[in-house]
Amino acid sequence: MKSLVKLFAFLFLLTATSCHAQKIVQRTADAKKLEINKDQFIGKPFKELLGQLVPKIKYAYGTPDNKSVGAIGGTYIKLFFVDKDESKKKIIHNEAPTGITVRFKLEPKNTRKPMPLGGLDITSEELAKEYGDMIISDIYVSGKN
Amino acid sequence: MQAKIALVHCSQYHQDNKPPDSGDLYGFIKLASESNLYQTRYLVTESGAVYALVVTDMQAVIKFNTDYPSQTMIGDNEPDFPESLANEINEMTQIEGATPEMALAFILNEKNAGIALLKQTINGNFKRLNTTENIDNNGNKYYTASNCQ
Repeated sequence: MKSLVKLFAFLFLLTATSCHAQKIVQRTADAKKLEINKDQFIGKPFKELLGQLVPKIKYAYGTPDNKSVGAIGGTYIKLFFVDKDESKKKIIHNEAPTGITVRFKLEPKNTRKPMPLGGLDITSEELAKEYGDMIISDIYVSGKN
Repeated sequence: MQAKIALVHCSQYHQDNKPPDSGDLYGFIKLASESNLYQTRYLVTESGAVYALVVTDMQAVIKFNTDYPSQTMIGDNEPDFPESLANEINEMTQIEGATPEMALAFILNEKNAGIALLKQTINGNFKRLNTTENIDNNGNKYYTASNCQ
């Protein structure tokens, strides 16, 4: 009986822990779930979205430093799970890799570090450190591989 | 005879010679759609470059606005490009080497927006900006300006 109670307690703990730790994007193919569930991220800091990604971000481009209302593309960062060379190769050949476009609330006194034109190879951790507190205003996911 | 109205927008937001943005474009479309008195919108950047958006085909403008309606982002007061267009423009500028000016001219022409983008030359004339899409021997896309005089 005692061991049965222990077994139930163990199973309960395991279930509770694994549910809590479950991230939305377990693999690249899950990225679309971010767009489907965008309401749970809009108005929240960027780091919350980054924390939901199991696959590693390898490349990103965008204009996080944008101050211009209505500027082309707005204030955004686009994330990829493949590195810059591979992403560019796929995009140029119309084989769009999975890309997560995160748009941010405009910051009129924006002093964010600009990203170089063409983007850079960067990790989720580096993105969180530099831009993690930017407030998400929209999410779009494109590509399929 | 009705006098035509030209809108002039001198903006602190247009730094570094940036061309008209989505706010300029969709704001102009709204006014032009409401009254045929509005046919031209001038935009003067902080550094003195002068652009003009000119209606060339009102029916095409209406269709463009239906096919590619603007969207408003949280925290923004001005209309943004819809995601499909923003994505296309961003790939052109970030990956394929087009300038924002070239990208806007290309999109307006490719989508048959019924609006031309012009820029004032040093002698005061306006020339229409056109952008050509090219593909090199390796299959890579790149863009070149082919502007009318």
